[in-house]
Amino acid sequence: MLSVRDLHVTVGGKEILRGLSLEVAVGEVHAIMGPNGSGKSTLSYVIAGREGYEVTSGQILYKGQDILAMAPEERAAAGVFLAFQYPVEIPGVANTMFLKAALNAQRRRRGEKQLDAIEFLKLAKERARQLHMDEKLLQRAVNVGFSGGEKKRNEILQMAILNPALAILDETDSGLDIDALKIVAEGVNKLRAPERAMVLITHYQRLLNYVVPDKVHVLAQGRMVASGGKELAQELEQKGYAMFGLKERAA
Amino acid sequence: MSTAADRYVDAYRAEKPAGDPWLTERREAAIARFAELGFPTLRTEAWKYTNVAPLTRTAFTPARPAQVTREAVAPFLIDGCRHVVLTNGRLAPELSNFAVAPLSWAERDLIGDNIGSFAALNTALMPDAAVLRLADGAMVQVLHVAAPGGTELFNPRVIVIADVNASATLVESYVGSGVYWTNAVTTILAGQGAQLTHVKLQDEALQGFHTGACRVEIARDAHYRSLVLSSGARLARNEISAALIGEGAQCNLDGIALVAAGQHADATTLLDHRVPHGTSRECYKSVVDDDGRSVFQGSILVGHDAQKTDARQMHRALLLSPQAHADAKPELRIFADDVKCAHGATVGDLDAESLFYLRSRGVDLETARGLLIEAFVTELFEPIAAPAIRAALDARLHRWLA
Repeated sequence: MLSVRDLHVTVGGKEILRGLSLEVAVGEVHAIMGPNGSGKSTLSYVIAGREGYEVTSGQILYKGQDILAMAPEERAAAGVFLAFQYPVEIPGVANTMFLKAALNAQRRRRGEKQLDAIEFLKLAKERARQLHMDEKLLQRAVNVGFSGGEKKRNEILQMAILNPALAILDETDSGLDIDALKIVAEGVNKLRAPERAMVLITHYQRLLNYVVPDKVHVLAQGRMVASGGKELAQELEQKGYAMFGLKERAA
Repeated sequence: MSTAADRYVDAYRAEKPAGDPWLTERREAAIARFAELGFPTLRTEAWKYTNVAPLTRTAFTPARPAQVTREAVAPFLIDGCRHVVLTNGRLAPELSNFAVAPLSWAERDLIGDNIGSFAALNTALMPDAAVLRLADGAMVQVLHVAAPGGTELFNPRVIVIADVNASATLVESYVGSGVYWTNAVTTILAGQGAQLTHVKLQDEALQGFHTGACRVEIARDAHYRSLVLSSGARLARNEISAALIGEGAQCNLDGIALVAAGQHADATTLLDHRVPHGTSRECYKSVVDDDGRSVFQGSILVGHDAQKTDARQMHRALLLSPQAHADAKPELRIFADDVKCAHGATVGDLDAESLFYLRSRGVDLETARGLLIEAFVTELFEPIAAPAIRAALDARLHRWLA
């Protein structure tokens, strides 16, 4: 599904990713853990196609295809989704309008039929219900006046509506109280599917109490320093990043 | 030495516009004023950002009556409104269904000459004035249609009086085709306790010129709310001077300029707080594409007696291309000591973070830009409650974005 090979990325002349490699198979959920400044967000932005990130060498293959030359909207239509660490507030644009425009743009690009307003609203409400989310979120301007938890839930709702094949969740757990974290985790678990791969990027281990990953990777100074099963996360929780000679705690 | 102004002074002398002796007296004073002031130049303080050379250079001829059919004006009429149609600056009663009175002695004080040169030119050359009285519940559209035979100058004059305690809506629309100059003056009185909403749609032909001056007086406890959507004309100047003349008066001035290639749009406003306890809110925005240029000059004047004034002004310009240009000149002149006044201004491009967020969801770049521009603009449409008027605003915006 996703194959990142020896990726080197610089931002503003500074090398952030230094030979990062990652293999995620379809149906799997991977967790990437790492201290602040290790390159976690850079990896997620580079996969989603944000400007300002220069790939100096290496490859990102998605379903066997090199996506580095593709625009963000092309990657989205191909099935790549990024849940933002800091979802953007867009005053004046209603959530429904935004999501309908997004879904129909993706469908148009894939040569699928457009949904009309009624079909779209039915789908959106159904997804909100499945995730135990308040339908009122749909009517409000995108993320404007949302609490931290509401913003993260809105990301999960968008993921549920857009139905991507590869979802990258960038610190979706950060800044959440335990109740909000459980709701987000439940959403992630509901969206786990054999035809979908997910990458959870996180600073802390606690999300992994609720979402059990197939594989755990530790990212430090721009490359993976360890990979293993879910027990690696627990080990990290006990010993902290110090076990890799790093200063920060993981829990 | 012959000047550009002479052409119009001569036209006035040749035409001798109709009217009672008191009106002729005012026309004479106005044409003298215009001859004295001439066309503004970049050295004229109030015009330092707007070069009217294209107007000065062009030889406009006096307006001729137009043949405009009911079918031709139908697309511009807004549902739910009564209509007053002026063609080539002159009232067309056969196309109108709202009763309009001709100018009378009672309005003599509204026909002044101590104003800018273009308003003076209007006073001298206006064919007549359409006087509208808005009773409670009135919703009236004044549609100005320009259908010039040659390169003509139109001088429409409209006077609107909102009755005491009336809640009313006025829409002014300007449309046309060809090369022409609309030099309009609109005078508005919001009577005591009146709630008047005034929407101006400046959608002149792209080769046309528009200079429009709107003078407003707001009486005690009245609330005047203005929204100007300026999208037409090669060169446009939308001027509003709003005077709060009764205690407790409120005024909202909102404006949007949609400026494309080759266009210049100037919004010049004056909020004149003359009495205590007045409130004003002003927000002007421009969206400038290609080599377009927008100008905002916003003055707030708080007189000696205008204690407890609460005035806020905001200007925001969105530049969509590296050649796009926006000038802003806010000006606060405060002579009272117990007032709240604030102003702010921003100029920038579309937010890169928002664009990436939309694109990461699959929205293509053009659509994402459109959504963000639409959101920027429609914030100022929100206070407009009448659905048909809101629809007309949205339709104009969508045509501009397309």
